[in-house]
Amino acid sequence: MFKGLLGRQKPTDHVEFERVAMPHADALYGAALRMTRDGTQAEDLVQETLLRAYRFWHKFEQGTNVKAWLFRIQTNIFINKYRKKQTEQRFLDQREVDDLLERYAADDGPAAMPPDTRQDFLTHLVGDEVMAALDQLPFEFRMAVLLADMHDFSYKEIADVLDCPVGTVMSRLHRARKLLQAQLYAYAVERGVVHKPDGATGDNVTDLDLFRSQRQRKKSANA
Amino acid sequence: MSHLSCDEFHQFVDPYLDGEYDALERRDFDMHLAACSGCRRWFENHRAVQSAIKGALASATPLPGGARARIRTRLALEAAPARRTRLVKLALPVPVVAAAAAVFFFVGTTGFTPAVVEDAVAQHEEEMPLDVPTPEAEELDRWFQDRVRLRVRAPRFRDRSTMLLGGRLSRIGARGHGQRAAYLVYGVGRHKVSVLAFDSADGELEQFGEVRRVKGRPVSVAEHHGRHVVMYRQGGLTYTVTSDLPTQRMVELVGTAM
Repeated sequence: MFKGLLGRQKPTDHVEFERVAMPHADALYGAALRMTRDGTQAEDLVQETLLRAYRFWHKFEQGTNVKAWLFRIQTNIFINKYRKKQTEQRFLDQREVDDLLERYAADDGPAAMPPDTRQDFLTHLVGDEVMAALDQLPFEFRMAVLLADMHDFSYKEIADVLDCPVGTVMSRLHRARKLLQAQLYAYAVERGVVHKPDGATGDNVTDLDLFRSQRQRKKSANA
Repeated sequence: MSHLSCDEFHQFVDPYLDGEYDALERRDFDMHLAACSGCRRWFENHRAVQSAIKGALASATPLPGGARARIRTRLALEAAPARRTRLVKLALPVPVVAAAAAVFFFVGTTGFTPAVVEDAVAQHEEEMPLDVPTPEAEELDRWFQDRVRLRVRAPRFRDRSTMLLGGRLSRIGARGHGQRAAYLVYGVGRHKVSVLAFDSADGELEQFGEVRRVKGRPVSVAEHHGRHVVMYRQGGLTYTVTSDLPTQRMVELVGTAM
């Protein structure tokens, strides 16, 4: 008969919540924007996250990493509730991922750039451009980059947030960074920000041509 | 000692870049870098690109102020749930009996509950959105001054566990159709404390409840439906402070704001 009383955990200390959890609202929103890729949905996601955190504050182990705890809540809400709504949004599909990675493997992507090209490429890596490229990554890859490179989580923390082994974090991050670099490099070549390594102007050259010419170059270099 | 191949170096470079390896593991990578100029060039590029990407990702958008305010309001409501419905579910455990007895006692001794006390407790139990969800007392004061020309001063409770959550415009008396009032809500530890501030004539305090003195000034203490109400006057306004905290704790709290 005390179900009503026992079913409800003791109320959350608002001052403590404000001091400990609320400072992470901006970080949660920054991540939510990249997760949902929509401002309104991102705001809703953060609100839901903080509300759930508030309700389950008694489950948070004081002294442990509150940011990781909040990110885990947000990630779970996103997966269970928001991700399904996103089917109409555009991601790289598996074929495109394979394609990019293969091309990256073939010419080592931006990591093989000569120094002068590198400077052009780096200057071009501004916020919007990188965010847009990140937004194209499939969810698991996007989360790995987001947590490691946007929010400075350790591999162990990322494993906690994504509920997967540290080894999985490592391989996802590796592939995700390759993909992101390859994609940014492909953009840069497409826009003529960096010139093709073989010195051509890049005009009227499709990615496939670039891909083939680089392969050819690599083959002759190895011969 | 194991030597890394170039393939291994490439494949396992990320933890090296991220400082995830222990000293021994790092040394394998350091040694490979020192020995292999190809990997050295590649690593330099990789690191430069990664740090540029990291820099670009750091330019994150902060949560918009409007959204932050909405979230604060939502949390404030969560902090301040209506208790009555939940208590009804219980088969009269001790607190309810005690509260009922207390109400009976109060009614029995004074004969009636002043409308202001009833109103303060009723509004305390409501879950209404806040017009200004802010922990900044000055901001709230300005809002009431500018919007409704009410010279309210949100009580500055000097108490570590107390936090202002926000306020909204309200009314007091005549079943919610009376004069304008400022409704303020605070979190005190795990308890909600609500404050109503409204214009009223001097010398009404003794009509509200039992008068005590705090810092040499009169406050009046009442109880209704298990909630305690402490009233005091400041700057020509009457302030009611309502919560389920013990009376003594509330009187002390009010003292810190006087």
